[in-house]
Amino acid sequence: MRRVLAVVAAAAMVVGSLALRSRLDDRKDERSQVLRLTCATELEAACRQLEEADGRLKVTVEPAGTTASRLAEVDGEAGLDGWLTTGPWPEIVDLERRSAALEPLFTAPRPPLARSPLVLVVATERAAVLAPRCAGTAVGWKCLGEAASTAGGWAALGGRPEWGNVKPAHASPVADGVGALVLGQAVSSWFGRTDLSTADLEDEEFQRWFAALEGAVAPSAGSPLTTLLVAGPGVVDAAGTTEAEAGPSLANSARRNSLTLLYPSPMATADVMLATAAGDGPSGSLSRLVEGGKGREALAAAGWRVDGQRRAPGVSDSPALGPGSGLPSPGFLDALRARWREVTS
Amino acid sequence: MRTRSHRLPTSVRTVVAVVLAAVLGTACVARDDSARDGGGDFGAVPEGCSPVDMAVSPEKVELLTDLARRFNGSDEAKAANTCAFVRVKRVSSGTAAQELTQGWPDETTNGPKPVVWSPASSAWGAIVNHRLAASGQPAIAAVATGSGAVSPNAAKPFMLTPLVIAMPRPMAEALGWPQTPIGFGDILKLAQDPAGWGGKGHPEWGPFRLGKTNPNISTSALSATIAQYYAATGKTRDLSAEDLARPEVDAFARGVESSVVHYGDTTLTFLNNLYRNDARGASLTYASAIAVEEKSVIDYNRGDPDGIRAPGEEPKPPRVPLVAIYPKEGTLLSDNPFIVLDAPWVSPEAKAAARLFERFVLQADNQRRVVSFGFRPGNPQVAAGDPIVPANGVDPNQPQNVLGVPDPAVLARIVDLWGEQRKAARVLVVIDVSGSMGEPGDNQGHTKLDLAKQAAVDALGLFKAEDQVGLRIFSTDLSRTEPTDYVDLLPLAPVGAQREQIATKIRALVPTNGTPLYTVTKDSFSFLRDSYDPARINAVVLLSDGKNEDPRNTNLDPLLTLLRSGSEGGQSGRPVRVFPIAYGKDADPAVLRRIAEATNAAVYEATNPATINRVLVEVISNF
Repeated sequence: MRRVLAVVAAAAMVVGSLALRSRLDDRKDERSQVLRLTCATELEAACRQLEEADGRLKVTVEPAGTTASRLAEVDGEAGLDGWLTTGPWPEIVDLERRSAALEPLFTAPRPPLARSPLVLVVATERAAVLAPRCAGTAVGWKCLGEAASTAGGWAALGGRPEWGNVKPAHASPVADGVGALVLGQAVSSWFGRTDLSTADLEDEEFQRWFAALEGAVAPSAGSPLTTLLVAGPGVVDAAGTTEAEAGPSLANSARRNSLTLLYPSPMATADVMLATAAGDGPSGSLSRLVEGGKGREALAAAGWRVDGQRRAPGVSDSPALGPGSGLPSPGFLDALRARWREVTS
Repeated sequence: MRTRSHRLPTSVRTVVAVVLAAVLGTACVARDDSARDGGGDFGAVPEGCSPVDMAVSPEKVELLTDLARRFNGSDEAKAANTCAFVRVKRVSSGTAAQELTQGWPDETTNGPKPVVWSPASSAWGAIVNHRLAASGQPAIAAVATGSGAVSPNAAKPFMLTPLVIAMPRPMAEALGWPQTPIGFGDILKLAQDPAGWGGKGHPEWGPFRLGKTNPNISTSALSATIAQYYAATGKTRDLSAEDLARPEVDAFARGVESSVVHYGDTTLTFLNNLYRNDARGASLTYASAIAVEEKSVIDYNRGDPDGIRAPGEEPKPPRVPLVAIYPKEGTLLSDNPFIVLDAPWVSPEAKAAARLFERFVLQADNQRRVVSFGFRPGNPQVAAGDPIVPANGVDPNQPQNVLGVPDPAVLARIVDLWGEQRKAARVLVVIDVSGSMGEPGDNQGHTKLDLAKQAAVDALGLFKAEDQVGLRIFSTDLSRTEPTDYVDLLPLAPVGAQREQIATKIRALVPTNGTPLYTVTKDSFSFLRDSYDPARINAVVLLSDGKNEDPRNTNLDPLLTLLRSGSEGGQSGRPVRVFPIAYGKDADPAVLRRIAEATNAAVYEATNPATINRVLVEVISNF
């Protein structure tokens, strides 16, 4: 009996040591594993912070539209282990892949890691002129588009003649992650709802408004908000972006006293998500890293609202965020991008 | 009848492009400061570092050189796998645009092929991309122009300065400044008023005179020309080719151009001349308004008209300061983009190294240095404070409206149209054929005269058909009859009708005797003044390779007195400009400079005869 027990114990020890060795090997592999994270431009600060904190991470930063265009066509290795971007870009990629008869790349969307409401930063003096024209609502995209089509520009709206035309700005919805979301919010504001379909894009009145708005959009190198902050309201009078960018930037800006931060209606948010490839691979390690404490801290430090994390300067809990993003569907946003291309080309 | 476009035939344009490529190189920027030649010597690239060659526009070369010296060797120049070593080279925006379109062929003059290009305005990047596209090549300069949202990859500005109309303060006040907004439309009205400043109660100031440079080379001129078109159309964006073709727009543009004093490659010529006139109490009769960047107004009012302070130089503010008029129709920004080129010669390592310098330049401390040079900062955390203050004639709260840079095709059309609409010229080309012109000019067996002849023939293509050009040669005892020291080979006549004849005459020139510099200058000047045409730029281009060698006329002072007496004046003034070219090492640049300054023109140096092509192109850019 004792012999039997000794054999069993010896066997258990062998099995245990093998299991332990295997786990140790796994951890060693994990530690030496390179994790390829592609980040949307608006998340660069957070990604760089993570990269510095963990030597396994190899970060590539590029506009979400650039990543999306590549991933929509890739057949085989995607060249990344995860994509940190704003929703619904991964869904847009998979939609485009399905329409090209390619397999979807990503697992089902998970709850957002961080959120940020979409905002408008407007020259205060000009916002005051515009407000009475906004039919009792706060200054927003619908009203900006209408003002942009007013013959005579600011002078006709009651502003100073030397202000010229109304010059709103948003980033390219084709190239820029936030640009597509801001445009989605702008269009929702015109319709007054978010349950939009591609048929809505055929509304003639909408098309006139949309063409007027986009014809007035001021070109800007990089972020429209930076253009406003650097070059002033002579170039851009109102810039659409995220609170994550606007809050900290305004807090540090030499022009902060002449600019106003507005939360246009309907409230919409840019929601940060980590999209990982379906199936086996290093996505688990990447998820643990990005969705863990360090990732959450990095996002909060970069101005994003993260539950349980301290807010960055210029960012507060007000206004409160709704349960969803408040944006039209991924399919509609993709169709809107295509329409934007047509209108602006 | 509509004149022939200033746009040149392809063959000539090729020559011109090659020539322009080095416009800012050694020879032709002599003017007053040879230090303006480039960014200085940066020494050898340390082992393991990536050289980042940077071509920057002239007005910021001093600033960028200073920043590059601070950057090289600093911790900021090092990254995980990269070490950057920045070398700055001064290349005017228009010249660099020409060079980049052709793959940067002239590295000897313009420095190594750049990794980074920072022209004064993104518009130049759009022009390069447009020209490359026309020849089926991909874009190399990611810039934000045209309308609508653009790629987030577009080159970002790292400092800015708006285009303004600089006016002597009393003149601006006569137009109602600062209470009354002033625009290009007001300037056109004044330029077309036969009473000139007399219509504003100041007949002593003569006609309205506009100082404007050549938009083929100069950013302030390109911006001013765009702004003129906006003013003519009443638009503030979306300028189209159809707009440019409207007759009233054409008339507006020609009206503004008609008031131009002369053109040129750089606004510094105007500012230096104005400053010199100011010193003798005559600033109000040289130029009434000059299209310049805001930074130049600050420099001028600080007593540093060219913005480059030599060691020990004590700036002395002018007696009559300039004020910056921000045109009421809106203006353009020189946005100084930091363009990391997508050119075939730029490696990924060089791009990564370039981004390190971009990050360095945008740091708050360095942006405060940017402000100290009179530029507005590209970092939003840094305020545009002193010296961008009203005491320096500028308004930090302006501009309130910035005009959009048109689409590239429209931009290219604007530059072409300017060639047709610009003020016509009346130019007597005076060429030295003294014996010394027969000396070797290069190591390929050409004499100095051979090189000058070829350059002069090439440069003829730069004149538009209606420009009047005459050809005079000079040397002692050239003729048996009076005047014995010069001969008119061809009289002043529209160049379109006699371009080939002039070329044939030039090709036949041979070197002869001595250099009667003073006599030929006096007589050429007097001839143009006596036959003055107020609708044209009246000028002498004087190419000389030696000192005055005429024993019958050795006194410079009477000549200078004559030149000054005729240089400006009031309503009846007959300003004739003399643009001398000091050719070869034996020329007399000091005397030639005094001759140029006496007529509010500029002297050009081609110490190395092989550079004469470039110099002549730059000289002709005054017309």
